[in-house]
Amino acid sequence: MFHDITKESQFDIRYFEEKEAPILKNHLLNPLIQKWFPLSSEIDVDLFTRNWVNFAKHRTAITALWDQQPIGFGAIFLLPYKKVAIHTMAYLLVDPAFQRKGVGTSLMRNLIHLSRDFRIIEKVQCEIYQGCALEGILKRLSFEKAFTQEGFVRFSEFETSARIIFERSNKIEV
Amino acid sequence: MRYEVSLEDQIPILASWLSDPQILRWFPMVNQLEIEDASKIWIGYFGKTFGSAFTVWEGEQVVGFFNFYLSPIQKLRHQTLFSIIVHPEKRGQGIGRQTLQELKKRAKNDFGISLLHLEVYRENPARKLYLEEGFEEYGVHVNFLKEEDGTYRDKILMQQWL
Repeated sequence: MFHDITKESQFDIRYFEEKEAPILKNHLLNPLIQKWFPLSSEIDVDLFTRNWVNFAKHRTAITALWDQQPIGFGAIFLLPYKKVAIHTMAYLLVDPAFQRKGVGTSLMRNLIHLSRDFRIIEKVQCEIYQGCALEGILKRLSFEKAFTQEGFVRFSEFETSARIIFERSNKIEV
Repeated sequence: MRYEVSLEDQIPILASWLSDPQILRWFPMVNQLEIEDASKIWIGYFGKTFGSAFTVWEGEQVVGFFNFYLSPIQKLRHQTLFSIIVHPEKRGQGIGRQTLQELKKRAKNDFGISLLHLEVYRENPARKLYLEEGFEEYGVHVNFLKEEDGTYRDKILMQQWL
C-alpha cells in the first residue's frame, strides 16, 4: 500500500557524500534493485559506483534520508560535449523497504530541480527496462517516451529486454 | 583494403579529419578540445582497452577508421554502438560500404556482437548507405543536438541484428 513519507520530519534529501559510496554499492548488489540496472557482477557495480562518485563531485548526486540514514539515491550524469550537453541522464534507486512511499518521486523531482542549476541543461532523460516501476513516476512527472530499443540488455542467453528512454523538458514546471 | 587495429600515433589523422567542418557537422563535437578528446577516446581508449578501433588502409594510405564502443558491462556486451569515418578525399569510391561490410563481420566474429547500432543526424547522407546495408531505424531522438546558432537537429537511431 502506498504511504507518502516524504512530508514527515524524519525525511530529508541532501547532496550525496562520498562516504555513502559503500551503501550505494550494497544497494546496487541487491538483486531487487540490480534487475533494473544493466549490472550483474561486483565489477560492474564498482564501475557504476565509481562513475556516480565522480559525477557527485560536480554536485549532481543526492541522497534521500530517513532518520538520517540513506534510503535512496539519485544522480544526473552530464554529457561532455557542448552540442549535446543540453541533455542529462537521471538515475535513481530506493531501498526496497522504502519503496512505494513517495521517495522515488521526491528524488526525481529533486533531480529535475538540480538539473536546472546547470543552465545549459534543457532536458532530463531516464532509461528504464520493461516492467520497471519507475515508469509510473516518470509519467506523473511529465516525462514522455522518446524511443524504445529492443534487445538492448541481455539477462541470459535467451532473455533480453528493451530499453525505454523517457525525457522531459525543463521548460515544464515540476 | 586492409584493416588493422588503430595505433595511438594515428590519433592526429583522425582528429584532422574530424576538424573538417563538412565532417564535424555529423558529430557532436564543436571545437578542437572536444575533437581531441573524442579522437583519444576513439583510438586511445577503445583501441587500447578492447582492441576495437580499426584503421582502414589502401596501400600505404589511411583511408578510414571505425570503432566499436564496447561496454565492459556483462549485460550489455552483446550489443555495441559504432562509428565510422572515411578520408574526406576518398568519399564516393565505395570505401564506406566495403568498410561497413567488414565491420559487421568483425563485430560478430571477433567480438561476439549480435546487435549493432548507430546514431546518425537526420540530414547525413550516410543514412542511405546504412539502410541499403540492412540497418533499420528504431527511433528518432527529436532535437537531440543543439547547434551553436541555437537550431536543433534530430538523431536517427538505427540497428541491425547480426
